[in-house]
Amino acid sequence: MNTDRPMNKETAINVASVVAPVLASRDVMSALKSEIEKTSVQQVQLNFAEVEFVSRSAAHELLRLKEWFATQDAHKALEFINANDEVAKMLRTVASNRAVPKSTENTADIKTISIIELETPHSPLNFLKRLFAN
Amino acid sequence: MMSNKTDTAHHVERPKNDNLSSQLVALYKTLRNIQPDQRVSFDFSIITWVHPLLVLPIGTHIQATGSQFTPSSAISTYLSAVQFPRGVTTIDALRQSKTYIPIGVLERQADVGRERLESAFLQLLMNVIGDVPGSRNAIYYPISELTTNIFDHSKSDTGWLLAQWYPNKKFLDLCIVDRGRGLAATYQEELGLTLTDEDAIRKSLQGVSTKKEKERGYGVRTSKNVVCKALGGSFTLISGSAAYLVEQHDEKLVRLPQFNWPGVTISYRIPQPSGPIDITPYLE
Repeated sequence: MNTDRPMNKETAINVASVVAPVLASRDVMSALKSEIEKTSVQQVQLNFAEVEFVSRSAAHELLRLKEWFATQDAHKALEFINANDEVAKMLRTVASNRAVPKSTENTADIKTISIIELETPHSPLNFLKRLFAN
Repeated sequence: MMSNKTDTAHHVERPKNDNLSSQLVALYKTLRNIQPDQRVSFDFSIITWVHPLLVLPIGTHIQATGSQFTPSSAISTYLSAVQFPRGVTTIDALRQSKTYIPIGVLERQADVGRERLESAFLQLLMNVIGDVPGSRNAIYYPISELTTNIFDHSKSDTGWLLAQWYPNKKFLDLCIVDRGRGLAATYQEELGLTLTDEDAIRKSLQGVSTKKEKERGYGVRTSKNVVCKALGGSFTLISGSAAYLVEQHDEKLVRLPQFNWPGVTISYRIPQPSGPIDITPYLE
């Protein structure tokens, strides 16, 4: 952190007003980024008081935004404030996954069928019909 | 647009029952052998009940191709109420209908306007379902993850949403549609992987992201887990000539010959939440 710069000034941005009460999409976080860039202070509080929900993708983008501003020349420290329990939980979950990502899931056990089989209800009779079909 | 009898009538198939698998079969039979850019006249005359998985993809086909449709008298009021096939792009229009939530049309260019429309759509959903602890998160999570995928991956500029609440049966059907490049083309163009539609769906379920960050690619599988495990629902995803289906915890991939959905269609059914729901174990 650059300690030469004064950190005593701060401003708060109402996230729900700038974006929406439900933060779903990654790409619209650019609106929040623009709003942060407009500020002249280095301590920016993102106020989540009116935010009902943050998706996993939006949470990931918010954390990336926080890291990005911390590493820029015009260093800005973002603080997430007034997040409800569920929003805070989502941010923590994504942050921890960002540190240690999970591995991919095995899908080898998922069987493949034809749409025709989906139409035909399963019954022992069908099995016998198939067995003696030839 | 309503039919003016210039195109050959094409019957919309009636699902055998309410299940998601029956809706999938009906959609398959309706759109089989129809090219994504083909103009047709959809005949809804034998349809007496509207399922989102059946009508929303057809609605987007009508919009994309200038196709036509003829509703049956049983569903014409409903189709008008949900603004079929055009849908709505503003919050005011979304809130105008007193009986049903209209088709929500999410447009890339609308930027935060799109996010606000989606927020309003989700809030209307919660009004009809009713709030129990944790249900808001469980309902919002899959919709938000699956719609952001449209604008992150599909290269489509539009996403469509339709929800139908069944008050007597106490379940919600939801459908999310894009007419973008689909999963196989996404893996091909972003990672150079040549996959069948079936294998591309497997990759998305495995959590293989086309982005370089390892912590991405969870959207489809965590959404499926929230719907099926946290909420006890059923789930289907269609891309190209294949579908993935989970009903009563039985999951399968389904081949759809002579069928080609140009993008991704996702539909799921969830029962009305009756007790506290915690989605945390499924977020990974």
